Amino acid sequence: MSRRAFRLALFSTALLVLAAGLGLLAGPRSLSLAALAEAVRGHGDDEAWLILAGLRAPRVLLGGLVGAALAVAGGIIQAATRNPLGDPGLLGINAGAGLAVVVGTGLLGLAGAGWILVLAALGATLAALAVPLLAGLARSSDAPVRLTLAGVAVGALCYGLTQAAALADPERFDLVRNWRVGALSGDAAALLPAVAPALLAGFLVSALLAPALNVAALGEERAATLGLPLGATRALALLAVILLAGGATAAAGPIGFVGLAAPHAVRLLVGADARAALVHAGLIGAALVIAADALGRVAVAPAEVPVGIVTTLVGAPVLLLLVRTRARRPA
Amino acid sequence: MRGTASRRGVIGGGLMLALSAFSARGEDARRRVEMPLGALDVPVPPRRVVAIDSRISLESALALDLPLVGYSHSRARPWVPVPASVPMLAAPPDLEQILMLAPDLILCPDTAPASDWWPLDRLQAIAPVLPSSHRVTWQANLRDLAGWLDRMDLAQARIADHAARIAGIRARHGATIAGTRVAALYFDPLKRRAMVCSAGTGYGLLMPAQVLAELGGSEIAADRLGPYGEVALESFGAVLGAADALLLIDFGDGAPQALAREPLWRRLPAVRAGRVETVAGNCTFGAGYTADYLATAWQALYARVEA
Repeated sequence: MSRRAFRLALFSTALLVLAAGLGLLAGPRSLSLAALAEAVRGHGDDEAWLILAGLRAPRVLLGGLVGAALAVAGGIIQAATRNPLGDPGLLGINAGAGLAVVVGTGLLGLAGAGWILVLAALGATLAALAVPLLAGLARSSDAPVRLTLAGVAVGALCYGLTQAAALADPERFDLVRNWRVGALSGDAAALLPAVAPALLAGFLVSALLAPALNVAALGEERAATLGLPLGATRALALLAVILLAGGATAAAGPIGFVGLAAPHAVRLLVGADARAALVHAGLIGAALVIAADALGRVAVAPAEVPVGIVTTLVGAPVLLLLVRTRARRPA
Repeated sequence: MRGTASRRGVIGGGLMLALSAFSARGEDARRRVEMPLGALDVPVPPRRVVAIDSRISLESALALDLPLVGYSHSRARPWVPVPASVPMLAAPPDLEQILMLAPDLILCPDTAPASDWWPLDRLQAIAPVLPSSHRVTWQANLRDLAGWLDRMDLAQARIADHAARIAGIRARHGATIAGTRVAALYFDPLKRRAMVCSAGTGYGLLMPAQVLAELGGSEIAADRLGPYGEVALESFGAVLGAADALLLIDFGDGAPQALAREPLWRRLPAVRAGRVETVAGNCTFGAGYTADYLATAWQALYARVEA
């Protein structure tokens, strides 16, 4: 590892540690660092331990996993489609998950966090599978463009159907409104074991995929000449995105901008090497979601701003700043 | 741009004319009443009434024995005796559907006159609209409506009946009521937070707080809660720990079961002492029927405290 790569790894890890510390300290119930330390040592208030271990720590862990998953999924989509605007929303994952949740809870009467998880995972998977099938991905030479258009079409269709289903039963729809804007306020301790296997499998597939993404970035003809099986690479990329973005969306709802902004920010730091970019994107994505969630919990406490709203509010100006910085750089 | 605007104006004006002409059919005797926003001609007696809100408007209409042809917002609660022949309309209200019912009177909260859910301003093009407010008591709303519709005897009887019920509860549990701090709340399992129905939150005068005030009970002050009564799970001990007994409102979404799994809920003094009464159904908003329903629920809670 070069000195620069080491420094970058240290920087990303420090950001994540800082965000995690903030996530453990921040909350509507004011607890000092000393009180938390006492609680960890087992000498403090029982309530402080319940808050730390039962609420904040699982939430930080879930937020980190969700943020890392969305950022890595976004990085894979941007690399595989060679589309800098790629993010999980491009494959209709958010819209598919939202449609399934609203139809399931509103029209089929399936209530509760467990059903939301199952429905969201199902909707995200179906949408992510439908997009490449509709785009005719395997046979096409202009796959990225077709994939983008098919994703936009599937997303719009799912969104329209979601709105129609929501209008059919507004009162029941209201029950999942919080999930639909992206939130980590659910029972993180219960969600973690449910989604962690899918997310960890997604990270594993991403690690295996990263070298192939570097070759694919050279262009289809060159990649084929170098012996890269393009169809298998795309299938693997799709699998990784379904596992990562589908799992993250099922756990926390559609959280915007992380999948788009984190890979962008990382490319400015580490360049186009997919292996390094995906690792750093994961770390920064995790830090971003944890910090945004902590901010949302204290900004209007004891009320709470869902993390999906905070990432959008913070992410949009940051992304614009990145674009302007990039534009000023000499080619 | 100007062409579009004027085209919209013509269409809008035409629609208003059509609405006025349609709703004017079969007009009977009218009575001029003074409203907060000016004078209004209301039919006496009204023959076809639409209640826009299934809580305050519907319950008031039933208490005044008004001939309902439909209601909106959400399904009438089980304790509200709405006749089976009165349909629930589209929600948010569909003005075309309401127009086709040809109402001669509409009851609508003044919560947000330009909104989709309580479109008081636009409804005035269909029929006279009598407002109600969620910031005053249900009795004050009922008296206003009864005064405008010349049905004060019905309103007074309804209010007296409820007052007698409250007096009975105070007579039985007066000492307990005076010495017990309570809270009515519901739990949102997705956001993992409680919403406490104290007086003075952004929701106005919620029904549990209204009835508790009538009983002379003591509740958790609104300044200890979020703007709409929110209490985060990690603040349960600091806020709900001050309550001696809790009235848990069950919306039927599995919240009480989810709450029972939360260690921070289970360690509350009221929960540990078994002083939690669960009341079924969304009774946060309403009028006389919901007030009676809640009076019974509060009575059950005080009886539990005494047990």
